Amino acid sequence: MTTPYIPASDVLSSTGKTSRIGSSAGFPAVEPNSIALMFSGGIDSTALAITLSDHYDRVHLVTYKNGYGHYYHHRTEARVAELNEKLSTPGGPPKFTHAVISTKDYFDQIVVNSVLEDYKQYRSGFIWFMGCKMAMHMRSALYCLENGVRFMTDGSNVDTEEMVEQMLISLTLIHHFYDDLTVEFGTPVYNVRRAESKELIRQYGLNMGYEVMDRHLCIQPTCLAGELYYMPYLLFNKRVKHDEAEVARFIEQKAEICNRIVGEYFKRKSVDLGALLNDRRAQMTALGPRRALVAA
Amino acid sequence: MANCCGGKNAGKPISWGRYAAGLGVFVGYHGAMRVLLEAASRVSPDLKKVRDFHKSVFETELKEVLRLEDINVNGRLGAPSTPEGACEVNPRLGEVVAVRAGEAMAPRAEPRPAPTPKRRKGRPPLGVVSPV
Repeated sequence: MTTPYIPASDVLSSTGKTSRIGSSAGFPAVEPNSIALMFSGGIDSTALAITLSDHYDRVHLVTYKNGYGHYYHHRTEARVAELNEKLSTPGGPPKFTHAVISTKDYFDQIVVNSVLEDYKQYRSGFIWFMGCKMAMHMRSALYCLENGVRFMTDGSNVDTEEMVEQMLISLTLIHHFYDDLTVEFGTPVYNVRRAESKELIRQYGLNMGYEVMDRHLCIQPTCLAGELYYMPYLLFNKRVKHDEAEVARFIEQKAEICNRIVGEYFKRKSVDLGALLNDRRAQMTALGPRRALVAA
Repeated sequence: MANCCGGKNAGKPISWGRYAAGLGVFVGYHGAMRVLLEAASRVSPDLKKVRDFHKSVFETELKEVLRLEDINVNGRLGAPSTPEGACEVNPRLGEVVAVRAGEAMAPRAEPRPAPTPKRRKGRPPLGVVSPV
């Protein structure tokens, strides 16, 4: 078994500090009222960012670039600027911090390096997308651990559950993955109708992009592989074939790689991962049970 | 969910015109990608596996599209089995909390089920789409 490769730096741009951890700095204090959101700038994640800004003092937006036909991340940055302009207190600190992080090296190790073998085994293109998303979730967990963030979320929604990473089985297993790393993951807009999310975004006067067949174009990064893979569904209403048992098996298999990367990541930083997790558990216990994301 | 109905639009009828136009877009986009990956893999041999993966997926999908597999052209497969292609609600459901800015909002539908993946020892039951 080879030692996972950890890049010297994977942060491509950031509006805030992206790590508060190090061999001499000790463990970061868990922030009582902040949350991290996997953010693309699309309809679901933007609506969720708006919602979260009502409930949390600080929202860490994290955006990923997988290195394989994943373009136009400047659209996300434009969205973050819009959000801060509309939702931050004038003269105060920005409500949203934003980091763009490369997951290419992790994605390579989780799927790309073994994509042909995996394809033979699973017989479906879902492996590319689920592997990509697992790299993002893994990096999100690292982000939370490094920055004392207790809660992690994304804009997964039932209206786009044809996407493998938004199937309930996937979200459940991803939840387990975070749980092991003391990060509390949830998908609070899963059952919110997209029409309501769109209405919320319109209310704030944010850019809606160009609407084509229920999709809003030019407001978030483009994933060429995703466009290709979901094309039969979009063009022909062709059923997407994602077998739950196979998806679950894939996630369980790849979670092991993710866990090895997490271990190596902290080893490189001379941080005792077990001690860090114990410290977080103690802090989170002291903070009390998790607050549900419900309106005040 | 995707496993039961393959997406909310799955199985909805399309016309022959849309099928023909769609086929053009499908083959054109994939064909362009095929050429691009072929060229890129000559420059960067690491991309050969990506090229071969794309080739396999494309060929498999194309065969299915040409066989009209799961494609409801002119309603030849009848109406989707559930209204608007929606999946039936499973009664074994975990709690879902949905919110929007400023006010609490009732869950849109019956709470949705926690799937039952193989669980590791000692892990407690999980509300799938748990609130944060």
